[in-house]
Amino acid sequence: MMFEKKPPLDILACPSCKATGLIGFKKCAHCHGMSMGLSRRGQWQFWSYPLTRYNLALLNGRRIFNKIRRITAVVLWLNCWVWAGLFIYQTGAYKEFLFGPSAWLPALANLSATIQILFWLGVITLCYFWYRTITEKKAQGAVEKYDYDKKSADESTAGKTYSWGEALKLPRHKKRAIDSTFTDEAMAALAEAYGFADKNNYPTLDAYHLFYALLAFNRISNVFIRLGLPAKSIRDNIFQMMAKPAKSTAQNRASMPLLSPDLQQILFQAYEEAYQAHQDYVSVTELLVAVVAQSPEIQEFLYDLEVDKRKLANAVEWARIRERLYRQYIKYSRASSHRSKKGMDKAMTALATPYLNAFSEDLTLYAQLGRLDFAVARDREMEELFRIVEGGGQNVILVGVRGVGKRSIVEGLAERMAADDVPKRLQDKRLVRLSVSALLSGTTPTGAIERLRNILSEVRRARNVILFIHNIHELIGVSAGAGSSLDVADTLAEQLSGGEALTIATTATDEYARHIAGSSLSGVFTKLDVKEMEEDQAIQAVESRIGALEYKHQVFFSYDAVEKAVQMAARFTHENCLPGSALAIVSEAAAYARNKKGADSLVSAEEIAQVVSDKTGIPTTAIGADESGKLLKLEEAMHQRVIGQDEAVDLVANALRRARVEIRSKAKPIANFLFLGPTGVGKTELAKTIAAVYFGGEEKMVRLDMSEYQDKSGIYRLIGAPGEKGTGILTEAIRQHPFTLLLLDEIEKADPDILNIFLQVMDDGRLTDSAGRVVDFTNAIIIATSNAGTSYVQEQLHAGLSTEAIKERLLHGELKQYFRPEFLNRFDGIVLFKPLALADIKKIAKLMLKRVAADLDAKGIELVIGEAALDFLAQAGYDPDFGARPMRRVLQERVENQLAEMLLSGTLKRRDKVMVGGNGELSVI
Amino acid sequence: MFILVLQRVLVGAVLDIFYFPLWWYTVGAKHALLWCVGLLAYGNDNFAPGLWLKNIFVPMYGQYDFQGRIISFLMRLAQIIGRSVALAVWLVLCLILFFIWLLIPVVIVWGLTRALSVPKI
Repeated sequence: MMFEKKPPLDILACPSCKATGLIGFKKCAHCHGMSMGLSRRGQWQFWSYPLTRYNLALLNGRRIFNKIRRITAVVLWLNCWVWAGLFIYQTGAYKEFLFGPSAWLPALANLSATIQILFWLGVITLCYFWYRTITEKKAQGAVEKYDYDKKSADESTAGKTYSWGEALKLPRHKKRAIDSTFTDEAMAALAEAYGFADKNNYPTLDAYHLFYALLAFNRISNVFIRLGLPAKSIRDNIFQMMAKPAKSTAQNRASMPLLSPDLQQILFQAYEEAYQAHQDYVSVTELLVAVVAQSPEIQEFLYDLEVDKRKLANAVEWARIRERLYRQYIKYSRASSHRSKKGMDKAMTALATPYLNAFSEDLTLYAQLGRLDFAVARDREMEELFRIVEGGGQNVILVGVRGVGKRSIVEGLAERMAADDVPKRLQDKRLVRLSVSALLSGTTPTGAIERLRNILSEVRRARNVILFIHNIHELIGVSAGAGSSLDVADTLAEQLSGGEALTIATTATDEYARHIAGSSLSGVFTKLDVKEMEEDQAIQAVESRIGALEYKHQVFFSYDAVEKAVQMAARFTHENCLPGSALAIVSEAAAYARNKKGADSLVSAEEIAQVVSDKTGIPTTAIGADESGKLLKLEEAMHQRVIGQDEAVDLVANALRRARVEIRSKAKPIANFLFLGPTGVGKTELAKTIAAVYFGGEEKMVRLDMSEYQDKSGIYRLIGAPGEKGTGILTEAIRQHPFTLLLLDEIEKADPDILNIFLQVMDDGRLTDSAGRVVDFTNAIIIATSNAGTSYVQEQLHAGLSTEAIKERLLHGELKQYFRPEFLNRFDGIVLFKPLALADIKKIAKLMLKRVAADLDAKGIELVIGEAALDFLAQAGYDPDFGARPMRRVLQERVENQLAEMLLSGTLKRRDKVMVGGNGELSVI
Repeated sequence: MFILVLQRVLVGAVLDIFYFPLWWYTVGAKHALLWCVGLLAYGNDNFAPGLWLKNIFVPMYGQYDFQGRIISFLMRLAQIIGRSVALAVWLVLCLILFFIWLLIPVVIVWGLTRALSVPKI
């Protein structure tokens, strides 16, 4: 994703002072020092900080002088008072003070003039120090508050174009100096960039110079460290890239660098960036974003370092989140210090709730004690929740899939309530989480209902309690009375419909559909859907939580690691939702990196990939030299077990290579193949070979003999019986091992309805099991084998037709008896396995004898097979209609049986050599 | 350049010393006043007599019965009086602090003139 350049702003730069605000050492008379400005959101925004050599030197001088001045004032004050004290001690005047407070005044009056003068001079210097401290703490202006109503109206950002004359006449409240919203650090970055351009004789101050200067600041270098790029090396590269000013254009010392139009844009864009990101100040991070957006050269440079727009934006957001969370923490903990910790409101109208307290936890109290996490990137849900509450909604239910973050939204609400940063209806209230397990434990359903009634009546009387029921579906179905006539759900519905207390509940999407949608509770609650986070939001949520992990494990996360964790969580873990799934991965990766690399190490994307690989078995790590060599020679490795069938082997090898380097559709299985052909030609053997060569063992394969699924009831064996979790043979196998080979043997024998299931699997790579869980097939390779049309194939072969022609006819005629066209169409490749020739059989005989030789080798006996023996065995085992299977029988009868007899009779002993002769006879040599 | 900057900084420093007393009674006084107002607001947040007054007829601790209402009313009345007095004392404290600010220069001048009239040792 390349960077997008923002449309240029219509900046009015003063022509008289060349946008410096100064003429000589005086304010420019034309613009009154406003140097440049533009009209935005009904305001005249201007830049009044003169970026000139003299002004920067002056400000620098003042900064140093101010320090000296304050230190001098402190030294003087201490001197005066220390000397005064010394004189008091020397003259013995202090003794008069020892007679008690009544003697102090006369004692003071009796002090000598020197002591008194010293004392008062001390007071003056102290006051002067105080004055300097107050005045130097520059009152910083804040960026205007983000106006939600204006966000869609683009025209409001582009305002009326003023001339300098008009701008000067505007009233004060319509003018805003944006430079006052820049933090000291941002100003220092500008000064440093200017100093750099000035020192190197550049005629203009450009984006490059600012970028170069910014990299020297901690906050910016941290952003790049997160991106895995050391700031120092980028700085060196940028320095190399900067064109040296040509001698002729190089300024002489009398002139000085002026702001380039690009830099003017950057200053105003940085302010706009801060406004859009709801920041209070323009800090170095906003300058960085503006610089990069403005300069195509810097973008190209970063692009070469694999930093794109999204990466940079998320890394910058990381720096912001940390700062924002810190500020929020300070603000909220200060605000919440007023709250009662005993669950009472300020006006003491509330009632103590001892009964409720026994079955619940006070979330607002936890928030006050700093035990809850802030909810990040959940503004939309929070706003909607507030809207429902303000609109008079009594009870809200948050509905979303598991792990989507429903509870953290409510905990975020508790944080805000503790700081009173909520609508009026929620202010000065307690958010209390009802513990369902405490409610139900040690009692009968009737008892639970009784408890619930008591709790709710206490909540109503207390008037300052907002009840939070997490996973409300756990309560439903607890029934009492004859024939389960009284359900907890009905009690809840009856009590909550009164509208006296506000309740917030959460439930999972499927549970809502099952238990709540049709029940009496559905009318009581207003539904609020909580959607799974987008990747960017999830990245930010993970970024906000990672600080604690880094502290706990003493490791450091790179941005790539966070991004990869979120991407992989979205792709490979379907049991859980973002950001919960990504958080689980990063916390495992933190522990893994700590154990592997030790403390203070960097967690990179590679560690994340390793953790995901270990969890799912899917190869996600970068491809090493070993593996790439193996992948390139896949055909060779497969041919060591599979004889002939080049087309099939090539097809499979190519699919696996594409899958490993991720050049394939990620919404489909790795590949779907249909292997056709007579029995014994190697269809199943090829599948086994793939499992052994690529998936790490023949057993790493899910094999379904489709002959077992000849009627419709087989569907429930594949996806599970309705309502029973974990009973589907197919869905469970793939859920537990998503990276696998699925072999559907003899698929033509399955019921057509069962084949319909595979239509969806092969197209979308997903299947929903009987419990409603989605099983992911996108990391599986599906191979179906079939003997369909074998007799037809053999007839045609005898008639001398080529395999290509036979395949064509099969697809358009014979196969339609068994499979529907849309089913056949789902396969990426349909391969007709060729019948084996005599030469192939000979090779197979050799392979099979190798296995026998290996068995004998274990007993210390060597098997010698001559060419004549192979020819003889191949002849004996060759049957074009039955493939390689007769060969197995021949070997058993002619070789293995004899070997067994010889071993039993003792004619064959350790260290013996046994030879297979030209007529299949065995002899010890 | 260096001389120019030094000259301007030094001139500024001298002018600053003369500006200091003027600042004390203008910008500084405003600063002190705002600080005292902030302190008062903090006191108001803690004592909150206004909030108690608003709820004067609301029974405390959810005691909605007749006796509860009467006791609550009386209790709240006592609380309001107590809290108002506390806030008034707080206000006086804030005012004293502000006046201390205003009086500091006067006291210094008084102290210095007095000291100068005392014979030296």
